[in-house]
Amino acid sequence: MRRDITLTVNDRVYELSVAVDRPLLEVLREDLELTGTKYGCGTGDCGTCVVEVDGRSVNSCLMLAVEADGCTIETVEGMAPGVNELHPIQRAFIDAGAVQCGYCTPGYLMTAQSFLRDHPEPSDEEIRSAFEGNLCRCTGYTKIREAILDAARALREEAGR
Amino acid sequence: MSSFVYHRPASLDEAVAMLQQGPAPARVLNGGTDLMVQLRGGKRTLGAVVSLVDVPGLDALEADGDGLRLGARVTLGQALDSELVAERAPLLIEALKRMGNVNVRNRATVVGNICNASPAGDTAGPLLALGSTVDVVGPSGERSVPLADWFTGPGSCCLADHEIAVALRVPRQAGAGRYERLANRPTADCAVASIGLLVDRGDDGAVTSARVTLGAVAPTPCRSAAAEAALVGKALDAATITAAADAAAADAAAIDDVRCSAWYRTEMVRNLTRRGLEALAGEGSGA
Repeated sequence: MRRDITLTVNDRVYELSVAVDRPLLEVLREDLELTGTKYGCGTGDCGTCVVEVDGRSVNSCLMLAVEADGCTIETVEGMAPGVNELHPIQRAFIDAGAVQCGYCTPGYLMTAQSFLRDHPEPSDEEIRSAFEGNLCRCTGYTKIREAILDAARALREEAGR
Repeated sequence: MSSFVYHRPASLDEAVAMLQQGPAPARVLNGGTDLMVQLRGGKRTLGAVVSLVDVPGLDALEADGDGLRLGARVTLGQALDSELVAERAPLLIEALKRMGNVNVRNRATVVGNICNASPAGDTAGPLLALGSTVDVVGPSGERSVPLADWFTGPGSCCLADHEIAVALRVPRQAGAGRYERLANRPTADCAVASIGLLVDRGDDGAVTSARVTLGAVAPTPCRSAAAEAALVGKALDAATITAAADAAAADAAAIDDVRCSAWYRTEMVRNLTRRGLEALAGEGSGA
């Protein structure tokens, strides 16, 4: 069974016909060729498939694409404001050395974007708790935590300007 | 994942009709964080799923007399961030903040957690302790089921074919609550054992009412009548706490499984009950 849906992804509107049993993750990657979002565990434990749906971070492997009909979605490809410009969170991850193999990075970036919107001045404890659903198998957690703190600072400075 | 028919009703009546229409077996798709894993892992095969996305009136988290009413689509995250829940059912907050992770909590629903009916479901203990009720709509109309009568076995509840759980009603919390939970990883993993405690004490410090719930150590989430009886009328002292912890462990009907042994689970029930009651005792009599 197929169904026609409309997704707004990274400010672009897509009219699609998708099989009803396909996860949003698969449609983003295979139909829209937005392969920044990764498949990890398929059970909501690893967070590498996180995208924002209507402004909230969710595991795109656990959501049917048809359930996202009419929703506004942002993936990692939508973060950077321009071709030669990175988002402050992306910049902070690079500067802090928070990217090793990089597979978990898109999920961390998307979770961080949601998290920092609600927590502009996060405590260490808040960071630990907010990223319980993101796994880095290179175990670069210390650098990731530093990057999130740096990104929070950068975003505050940007907002203050 | 084998394919299924996807229904997207625009009203509750239509949703019930589509559950009947099938093809069977048909099931409601709400947040999907359990159902998707079951479908993709081949643990469940469905003829049809009925989405609640377009059904109006299921999103509300609102006051209900002194208590709360949570519509079927209220997510764990919404409930966790709600000042109304924090004020009227703080015990539920203790469970919510230790469930899944932020990304899962943005999709998973409180009502879905109850319908999934895992023996380890984390909202079950607090909701049982608080005396909650499930509002159900089906082909023959509406009914309300006390949560105490809701769970019928691992993964099963008394929701009949073609019925939909539309809301949970939670009375206002009386007394002090604790939720103790043990898992291999603090949140993401399914609980090895969990204990819900709700203890009210009089001016003299004696326990006037007690609820002790057990998670992940019986076919369904349940209350420990023996532990509750060991508490009522007593001061919350070392002897009472030991008696209640022993009673809770005796009431556990734990099994061996992939996570741990029955023996370990039972000992953890004892320890978690003790830990929670000691914390409540340390908070003072409340007088």
